[in-house]
Amino acid sequence: MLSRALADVFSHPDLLGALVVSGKTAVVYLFLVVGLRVLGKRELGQMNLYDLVLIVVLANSVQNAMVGSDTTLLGGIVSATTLLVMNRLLVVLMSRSRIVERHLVGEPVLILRNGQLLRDRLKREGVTPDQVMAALREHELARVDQVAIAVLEVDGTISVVPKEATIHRTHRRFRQLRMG
Amino acid sequence: MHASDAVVLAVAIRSAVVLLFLCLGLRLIGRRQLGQVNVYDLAMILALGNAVQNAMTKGSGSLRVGAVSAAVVIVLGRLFSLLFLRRPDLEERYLGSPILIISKGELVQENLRREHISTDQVMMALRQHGLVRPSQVKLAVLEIDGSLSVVPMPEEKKQ
Repeated sequence: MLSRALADVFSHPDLLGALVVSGKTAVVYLFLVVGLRVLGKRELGQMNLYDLVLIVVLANSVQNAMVGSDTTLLGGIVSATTLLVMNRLLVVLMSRSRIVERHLVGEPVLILRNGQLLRDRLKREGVTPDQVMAALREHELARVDQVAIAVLEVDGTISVVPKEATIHRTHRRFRQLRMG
Repeated sequence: MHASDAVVLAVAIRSAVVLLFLCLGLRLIGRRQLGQVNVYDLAMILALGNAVQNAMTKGSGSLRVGAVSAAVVIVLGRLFSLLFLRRPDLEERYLGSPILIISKGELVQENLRREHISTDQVMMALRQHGLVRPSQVKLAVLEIDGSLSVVPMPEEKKQ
């Protein structure tokens, strides 16, 4: 029984099979990145339950496209390694290139400077002055003139830098869900 | 469909190998995140789970195979957490140690490059602590859980 089990554990696809699995996995990964970018939800904080369901189903729908009918141990490991390497490449690319990073994860937007709300930017980002005031109150500030700068971050939170006083981190998210 | 004992044993070994491989792979190739995990990372992790599914269960849909595979993963996970509890030195070696990001107002570029953290990410973390320039920071450390701890400069040195 043990020898049969071990023979099964060491089963593996031939070189061509492994290359095919690796290539298909790489294509699927690129497709997922592009697809999620087009969908326009870049940060988990912006996601609701339906978005999460969508991503889980998405991952299931690509399973056969990655490993196909390959049920060997090595086939799965080749596919997993390909995914890890591709993700690493994306991370390295984003840390090297500001353009790629800003395109994929977005860029922070200054929404309040020297006690003045920048209303055109608020409008463009779909954030209301009331929401900014709520963020200020979370930082124990009551008026915009107490604020040096406030920034809408890529994770959807608002950072507030007071002219003076102690700091608290915002936990509420203000950036609206947007498609495309 | 009834899986034979040899198949069940093979699935148990396969599951253990895949789990160990993923832990090792995430440690070597993966990285800790500064701030939130983004949507691309989530998709990668879920796809990873699916990519190794057949490798663990041999593509078998039998209940026995699934139960054995799941049990192996759960037991190994428990063993790892017990091991790390007993041997903090191993935990540091395999989960990584805190890394200095800003020292006395200066970004430690070498560590930023090594951890693949962009200046944008550091500036966001600083703003979330109510600071705008690295020069206002005495010490910033990337913790094991991916958060950035920030110790501001003493008040009189603030610009």
